[in-house]
Amino acid sequence: MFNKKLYSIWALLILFLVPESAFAMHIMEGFLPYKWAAFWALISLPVVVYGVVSISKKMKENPELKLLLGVAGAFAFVLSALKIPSVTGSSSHPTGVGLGAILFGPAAMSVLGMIVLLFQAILLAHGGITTLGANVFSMAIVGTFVAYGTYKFAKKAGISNGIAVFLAAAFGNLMTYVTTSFQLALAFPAEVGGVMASAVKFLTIFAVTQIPLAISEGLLTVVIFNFLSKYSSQELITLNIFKKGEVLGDDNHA
Amino acid sequence: MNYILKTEKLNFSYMDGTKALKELSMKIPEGKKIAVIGNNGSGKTTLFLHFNGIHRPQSGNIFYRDKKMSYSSGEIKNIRKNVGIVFQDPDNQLFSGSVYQDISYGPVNLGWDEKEIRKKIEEVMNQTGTFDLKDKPTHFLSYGQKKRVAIAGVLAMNPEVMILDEPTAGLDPVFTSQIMELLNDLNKKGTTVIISSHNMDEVFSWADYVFVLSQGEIISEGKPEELFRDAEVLKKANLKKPWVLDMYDYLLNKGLATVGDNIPRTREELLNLIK
Amino acid sequence: MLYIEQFVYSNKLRHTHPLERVIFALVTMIMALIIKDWQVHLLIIFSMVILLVYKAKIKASVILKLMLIPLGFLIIGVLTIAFQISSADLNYLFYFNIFNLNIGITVSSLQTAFNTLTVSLSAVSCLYFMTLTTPMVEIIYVLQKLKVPDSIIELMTLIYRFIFVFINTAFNIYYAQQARYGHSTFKKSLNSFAILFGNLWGKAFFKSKNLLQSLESRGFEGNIKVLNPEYSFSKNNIISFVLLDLLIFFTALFLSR
Repeated sequence: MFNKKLYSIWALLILFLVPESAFAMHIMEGFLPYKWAAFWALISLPVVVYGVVSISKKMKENPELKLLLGVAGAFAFVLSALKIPSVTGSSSHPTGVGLGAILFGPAAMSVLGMIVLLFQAILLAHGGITTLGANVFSMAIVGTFVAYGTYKFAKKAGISNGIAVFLAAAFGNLMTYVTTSFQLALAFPAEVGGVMASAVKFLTIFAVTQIPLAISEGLLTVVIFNFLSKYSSQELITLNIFKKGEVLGDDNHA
Repeated sequence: MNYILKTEKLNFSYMDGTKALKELSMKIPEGKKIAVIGNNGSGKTTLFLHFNGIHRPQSGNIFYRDKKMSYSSGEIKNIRKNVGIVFQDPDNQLFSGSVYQDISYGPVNLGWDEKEIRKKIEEVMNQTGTFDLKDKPTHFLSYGQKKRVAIAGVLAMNPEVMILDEPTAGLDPVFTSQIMELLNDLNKKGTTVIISSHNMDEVFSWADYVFVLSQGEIISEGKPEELFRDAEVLKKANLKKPWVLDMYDYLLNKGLATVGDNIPRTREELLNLIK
Repeated sequence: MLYIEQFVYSNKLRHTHPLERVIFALVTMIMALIIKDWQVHLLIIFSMVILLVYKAKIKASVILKLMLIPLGFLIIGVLTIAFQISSADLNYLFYFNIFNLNIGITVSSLQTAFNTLTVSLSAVSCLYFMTLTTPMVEIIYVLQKLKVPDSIIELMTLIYRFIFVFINTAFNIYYAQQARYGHSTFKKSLNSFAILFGNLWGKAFFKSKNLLQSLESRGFEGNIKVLNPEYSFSKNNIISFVLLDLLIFFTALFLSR
């Protein structure tokens, strides 16, 4: 009797709170045990250092790039701070990794992603300082590289640009959430079935919000891309994103 | 007369083919208050960007203190120190969230030592009335406050020529008169001040010398009291006659005003001449 | 939007050296993570709230409102940790059975979940102590003192400034779109957001070009070096911070015996 009542309360709580937590999926401050927090920081560090070295070199050759990355970082933060509609009718915040990875490449985006995550923790209390390493790994590294890789792969496979952008942004977002689930599972393995069983738990719980969000972000990114290619192709060319003849907007898959 | 800045047959077109400056020659007298007027797109901003070496002339020459600009890196540094530009939109100029940091930027680039920079920052903050803003973040400032911080950031470099692109655009009358007063103070200390403006009343009462720019060319120049009486110029450049002058001429015609030693340039001067 | 930003600049602990506050917050946060005792966690939360309310003069209601932000993640995360699924009989405190699976909370999972809950809340209170007393510009300054590379510092400086330039634009466009039913259906909303971000992107690009000109006119040659105001350390603050951390440390030591 007691169990049943308690269960229904919890079930209700989850139903109510899940749509609210749709603020992407950053691990909150203090949630990871310190060993795991340190572990993910150490894993992320070399990648971010690589990113910093690579963009520092480019910025030295072209000082204008520094200002461009600065405003792009602010753009990414604002993008992630606005609530976009989700296919299920609720609203949530996009990660912006798909757009950023395709526009700036994975090295620059991993650095920008780290800064944006730090700003989110400090200005929005979304994510945290101790969990920064883990969140950088899932979003700025895995999310970015998956999005970039998907885009390149899809283009090579001859898939139209619109679909390639959709896949890149949606997968980038999706893999961020899958990685986060595994990070949580590693820190909190199940008593039976260990990490894998725990990962299934986290993946299932967060799937409710994260899968629709991934689809929404994919769609949004395509529409933004179409808009950009129509109205600011000059800027995109400056950024050297598109090789000759590879200009977006020839196909409308929005 | 000493000319601090001179251009000689300056030509400049943008990448899209727009000719921004055409064979433009002008001389800026040292220590004066100069106004450059003309419609949007007449080339004022492009001209200003030439004055401190951001744009290089595609043909023609620029002289600073009678020395032709050669654009060597040392000279560029020197010119940017001596000719300061305050841009029209302070959101394009203020890059830091901290007022203090932003003002320090120019002097730090000049390589002054820290003590000297701190002293200078304090001085220009007092001068521009921004001292009380030093603990506020840039994004909490009003438009007028941002504008004054932007002026302080340029002033901090101790320029000999101070260029302000539409310094009073979008400001309320109180801020406007504060800024014009500040510019007068600077000028009294020997700084050559150049502004662009769409407010003919303001230009008429403030400037010592006026250039009229239209489609990349100087179509007229002179003292404001002479220039603004040239109906043809006013028509060609689409300018409005300043109300003080307009009224004075009207009153003179009707025989209601006396001819003074000088043509009245402010409301008070005009009132004194009415019979 | 950017709720914390509204309070940090007027907090009363601001006018001392930011390093002392940031270090204190981080050290206490690490202690919260390492010490696994809910009483210590409560002590940390209590200390931070007291400092914020009585020293920094931040309203308690503001802190409470902020504490609610991570609650969604926290409750779901903690519940997910607490519930253990198994076909065997674990050391369940209680459980129910669906499709031959036992779903319930065990003694040890409850412990882990509860510990995670209190650790997180205490770490969050440390985070709020830092972010409510230290403006971003000063946090960036601290990072510079901690030898973070210049290119990161410069990017952070620019990003912080331009967030506010863009956020105003973004919201102006957003409200204007809403006023014209631009967000009434999913499809319309998606298109409206594309227009919003597309415009913002154009503006961002344009800004970077104008910024380059204005920085160049002040001597930009690739670096954005600036001078910070002179901060002075407060002996009183440092002593109270150290004493507080020692108190937390010895409480933990005492409780662990």
